[in-house]
Amino acid sequence: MTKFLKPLTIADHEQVVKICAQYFTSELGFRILEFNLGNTYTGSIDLLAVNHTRVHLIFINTSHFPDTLFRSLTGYRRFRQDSDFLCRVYGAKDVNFDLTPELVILSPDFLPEISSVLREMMRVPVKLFRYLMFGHESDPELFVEELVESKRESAQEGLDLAAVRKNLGIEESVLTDDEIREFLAQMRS
Amino acid sequence: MGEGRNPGRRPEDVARYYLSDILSERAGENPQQAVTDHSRRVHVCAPGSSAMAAFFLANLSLELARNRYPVIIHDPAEDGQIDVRALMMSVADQHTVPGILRVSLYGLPEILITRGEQGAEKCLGNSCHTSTNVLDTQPEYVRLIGVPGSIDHLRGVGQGSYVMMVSRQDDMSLLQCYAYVKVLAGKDPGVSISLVLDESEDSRTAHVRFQRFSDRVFTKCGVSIRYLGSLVHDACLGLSMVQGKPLVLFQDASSSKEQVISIAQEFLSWSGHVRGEGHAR
Repeated sequence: MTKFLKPLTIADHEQVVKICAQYFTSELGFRILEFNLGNTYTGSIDLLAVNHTRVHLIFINTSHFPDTLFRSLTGYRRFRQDSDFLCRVYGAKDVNFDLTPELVILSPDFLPEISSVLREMMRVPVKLFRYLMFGHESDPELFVEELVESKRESAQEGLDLAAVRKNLGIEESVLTDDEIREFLAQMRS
Repeated sequence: MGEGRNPGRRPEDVARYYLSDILSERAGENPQQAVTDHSRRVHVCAPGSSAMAAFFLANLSLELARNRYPVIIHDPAEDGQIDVRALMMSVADQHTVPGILRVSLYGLPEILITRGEQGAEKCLGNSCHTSTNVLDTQPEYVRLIGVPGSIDHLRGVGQGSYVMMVSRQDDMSLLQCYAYVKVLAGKDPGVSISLVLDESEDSRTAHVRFQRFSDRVFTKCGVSIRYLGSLVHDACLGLSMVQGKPLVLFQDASSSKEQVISIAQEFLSWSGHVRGEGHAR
């Protein structure tokens, strides 16, 4: 029998943060260092997490995406200002705060073209995840997927170049596979 | 006294000089002896969209006319496609020679529209009508030649040609455009190419995309590409297509109209050599 799942909206921000934290620890192997670091005025980070390669500043949107985006920017600034303090708290042996920080934003919806805009505008790496919750508020089920941009890029790596040539009306004598790959890499650099 | 040439002008010569639409008649030349100037040609090529090729052919021809250049448009559109005739519908004179559409706005030189690059020559072969002869006997006419949307048609582009390309700015469209440029440059390293980026999000992004494209083309093909600008699609542009009225003739201001005028100005500067102004490429 087919079941229709309707998205669940949980108003309690803290509860949503805790649910999402489980995803990062169990699915992505992150270690959560702090919940709700900072405050509204100086910039707040919902989850401060680390793995072997990066420090992750995680922001979870439960209302308006532009507010969360701005919060992620102020949160990053706050993190940079407080990095020495955090080093002293956690100890250099335990956590390496010299690792490249990455902004991670979770949201049920995003602004159009946000991935490409951020990729062009930001020096700091940003990852976007779409999340949805289903079921009952007391026992919700979480669905998370990384935003399409990165999937599209990986898909392009496995591009069928013969099909591309056919679609564009170009013969192989005009553009070889290597030339197409080089061209696309240069245009995306 | 002998039958020698009279240096003076008779009243009919003076009348013809001042009243004729045809510049060579004003100059006193014999139209039958005039030779087509093949260098006065600009090819317009929009690999991804025949409608945009027609759009630029229509609007650029009006800007050329506004700058006192009579124009012949060779419309490449095939059946079922949006063509220059459709986009000039509201300003074209329907009472003209079969196979040729004439646009003559008050005070401006005429624009003649014919189907395909061979259209004019076919008309000449079938008719001895004076107006049709104009197509092949007036060197002062600038020919805007639409290139149909297939790479094979680039083989018809002659040496030292000017080619204006219109492309969207996504990777695949620019890849197609790159293939076209490569074919042109392989055929004639001296080809002069310009580019308009269509359906751009904003002018800055478009310019960055052009720079990357241009670097690639220069490195691999040795051809320097002239950037004419980018075009955003808005309601006015859509209305222009639907009403069959070129955007440059619209009264109201719009982003797309401003951009088309800016592109046309760049086009005039780039194609100055074509129009006999002696500009360097």
